[in-house]
Amino acid sequence: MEHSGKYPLDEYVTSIASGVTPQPESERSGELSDERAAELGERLRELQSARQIAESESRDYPVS
Amino acid sequence: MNLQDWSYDHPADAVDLTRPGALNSLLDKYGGSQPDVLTNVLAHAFASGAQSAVLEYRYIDADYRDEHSRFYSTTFRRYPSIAHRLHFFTEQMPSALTSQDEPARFNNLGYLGYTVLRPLPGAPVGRTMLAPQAGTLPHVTCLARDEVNLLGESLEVAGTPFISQDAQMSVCAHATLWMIAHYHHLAFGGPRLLPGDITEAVPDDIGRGMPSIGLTLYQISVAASRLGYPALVYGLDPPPPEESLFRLACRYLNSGIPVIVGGDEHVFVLVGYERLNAGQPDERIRFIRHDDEVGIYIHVDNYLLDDYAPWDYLVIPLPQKVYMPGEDAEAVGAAHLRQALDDEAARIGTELRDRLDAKPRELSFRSTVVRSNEFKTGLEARQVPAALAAVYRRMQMSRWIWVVELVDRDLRRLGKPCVLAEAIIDATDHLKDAHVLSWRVPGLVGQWNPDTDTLSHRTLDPTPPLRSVGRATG
Repeated sequence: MEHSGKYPLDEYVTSIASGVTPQPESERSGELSDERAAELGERLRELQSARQIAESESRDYPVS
Repeated sequence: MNLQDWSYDHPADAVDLTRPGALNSLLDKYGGSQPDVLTNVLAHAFASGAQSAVLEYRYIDADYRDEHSRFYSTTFRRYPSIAHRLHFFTEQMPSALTSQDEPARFNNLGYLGYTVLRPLPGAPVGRTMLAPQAGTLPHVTCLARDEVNLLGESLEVAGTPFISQDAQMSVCAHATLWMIAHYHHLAFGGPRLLPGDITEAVPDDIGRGMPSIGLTLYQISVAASRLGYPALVYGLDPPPPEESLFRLACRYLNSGIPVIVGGDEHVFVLVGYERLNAGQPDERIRFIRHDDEVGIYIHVDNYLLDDYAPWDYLVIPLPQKVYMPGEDAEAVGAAHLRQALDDEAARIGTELRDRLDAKPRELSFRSTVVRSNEFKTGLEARQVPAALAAVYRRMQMSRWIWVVELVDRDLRRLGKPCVLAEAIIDATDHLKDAHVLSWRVPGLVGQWNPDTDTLSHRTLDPTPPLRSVGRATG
């Protein structure tokens, strides 16, 4: 369909807002501190390593 | 089995299960050389209050027909290609059932479900969908609905699908994978997979495919992936650091995701759990399992003393888009909630933050993976305040989300709403750069927009403890 430009959609819509307000960059809260991010990284590595070991050791486990 | 005894010239028979000997007659006819599983199924139905049953003859069961076409039609010994199906009801059949001038009616007769009876004397119990007994029902977290048509009447049953191994095409591993796949089909709209699909998905570089003498966990894991349910494998000797069998298994069971256990060279499926003596020194978890060699909704009071002890591995087939394991999501959610409680301390106080580290432990984290649409539509039923529900319902979320809840343990024990804060995590998120899509602490809900890497928030009125999104009670 050819765009006539006579009917801008903006004039026909009612906005449904998200209900939350953007936080300014200077006031960002809820982001992990460096220390907490490092702790989390370590924990995730530990868990991943345990899964890798389980995958490998379970390989030949027989069931019937 | 006499082949002539499998065909009837009428479509069905009703059975009055209250008559002495009625259950035995079913066992005599269908139990074959391996009656144990059928005995369990009949006992379960009777204990659930079954007063009557309907035997549906010439039932074309997709699963058995598939087994027949792929295997039983290839043997010298002949097997019928049709099955029978046995339906259970809590009411007696009305006398009008025998009228040839009226359609048969089965509504309002307390439908309990069905079991398909295969013409295999060595493995008679096929696809089975029976409701748990009333006392067990609240603790079976992996419930799916199945629609049934019996002589033109629509019936519905909620349960966890079951099948017993036939020990030729399928052993415990195949039967377990079938139960998982059929559950995901009914509960989450996954494809319907037949026994042959499962046999084909198993890598055949170890042993022959049919008849099967058994699989390895590697084969189960690869087959699950090929079937569309990539599996996580957890070792239990020892479990991952700071994890336990209970934490690992209950996290998924709470999400309505069945868990395979490997122990004593056998596998079975956990379908729910119950917390016994909560808050007491002898508090323990009673698991509920389907065991293809034994039967349905079997209670495991103490896994350490189980017939299959020690339990060695958990294998958890997941929906495709649940990339993030539960323990990782919990670590991410817990870290962000702690951070939010620190960051907002000036505004909301430090009470919750202090309780988080109290000894003995008053609070704990509970993680559930749930479809975001289900999470949103369930907000009102969980009595989430309107302002918070408005924010969550407008949020764009991944199809599957992990919800990490901060839970008051005392309130949980009392069966009251117990969630004090929560974090919502994209189940497809990157593990080296994991964020939370949203977090709520008392008086505040925050959001992260992954497209713009911006944060937004909204202050909230004080929110009472909320009901958990998890399926387990207590």
